[in-house]
Amino acid sequence: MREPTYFVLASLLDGPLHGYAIIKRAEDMSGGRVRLATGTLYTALDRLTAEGLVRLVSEETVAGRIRRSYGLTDRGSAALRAEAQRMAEAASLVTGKAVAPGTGRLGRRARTT
Amino acid sequence: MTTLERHCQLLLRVYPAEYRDVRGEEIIGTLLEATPPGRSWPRLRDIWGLIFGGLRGGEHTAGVLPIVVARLALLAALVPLAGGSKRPSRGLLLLVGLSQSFRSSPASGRHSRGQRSEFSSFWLSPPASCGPSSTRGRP
Repeated sequence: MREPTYFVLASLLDGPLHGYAIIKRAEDMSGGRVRLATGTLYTALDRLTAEGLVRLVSEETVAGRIRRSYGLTDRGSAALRAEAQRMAEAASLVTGKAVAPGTGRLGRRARTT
Repeated sequence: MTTLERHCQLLLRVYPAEYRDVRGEEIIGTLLEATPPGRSWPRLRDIWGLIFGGLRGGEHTAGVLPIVVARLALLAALVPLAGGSKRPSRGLLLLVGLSQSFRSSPASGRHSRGQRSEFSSFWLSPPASCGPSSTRGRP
């Protein structure tokens, strides 16, 4: 799962959101790293809807225009959690490891001198 | 309609008419929200996102010269109308046209997927709904 997809799904964890709210929430949640362009967001929503990970929840008219809100499906929620679990396991390979002798900064310096 | 709104609609032309019918309003609403006040064009990120989103969504058939030329000519004509030389410049407008040319290439002899009607709806101006329905169906 690519990072923008991950954050689009994660933005919907607390409930359905409309397009711009998803963009804002994904940016906030990622600490400003994921800045979705509008076209990119809708391409992602089309794909995620087709895959059954996201569904259209409601439609309202705001300022004369249709505004649609999207929410996670059970499958989407499961896929998001599975991805989070996978990343946590991958991260723990690194974060859980004590620095082995000879691989730290001092060790490298010792070897080069 | 504001200048920004007009520019958003112009950019949305990179998408097929069928897609615009479904998503157009919604995308424009989001673009308007995402654009900081006082601008007459969406953010560059959004402009690229639309162009590449439109390209990815469409058929990647090779562009056919007459179509490219026709579109470039029309875009050249549009440039003076498109907001009095404000950013983004003509290069961008040309890109919008080019991306459309690559997306649909009706003259290649493969009309079965509705490119012809998409072509006419954009350049020859009958509204999308007026196209012959037999050419618009997707398999």
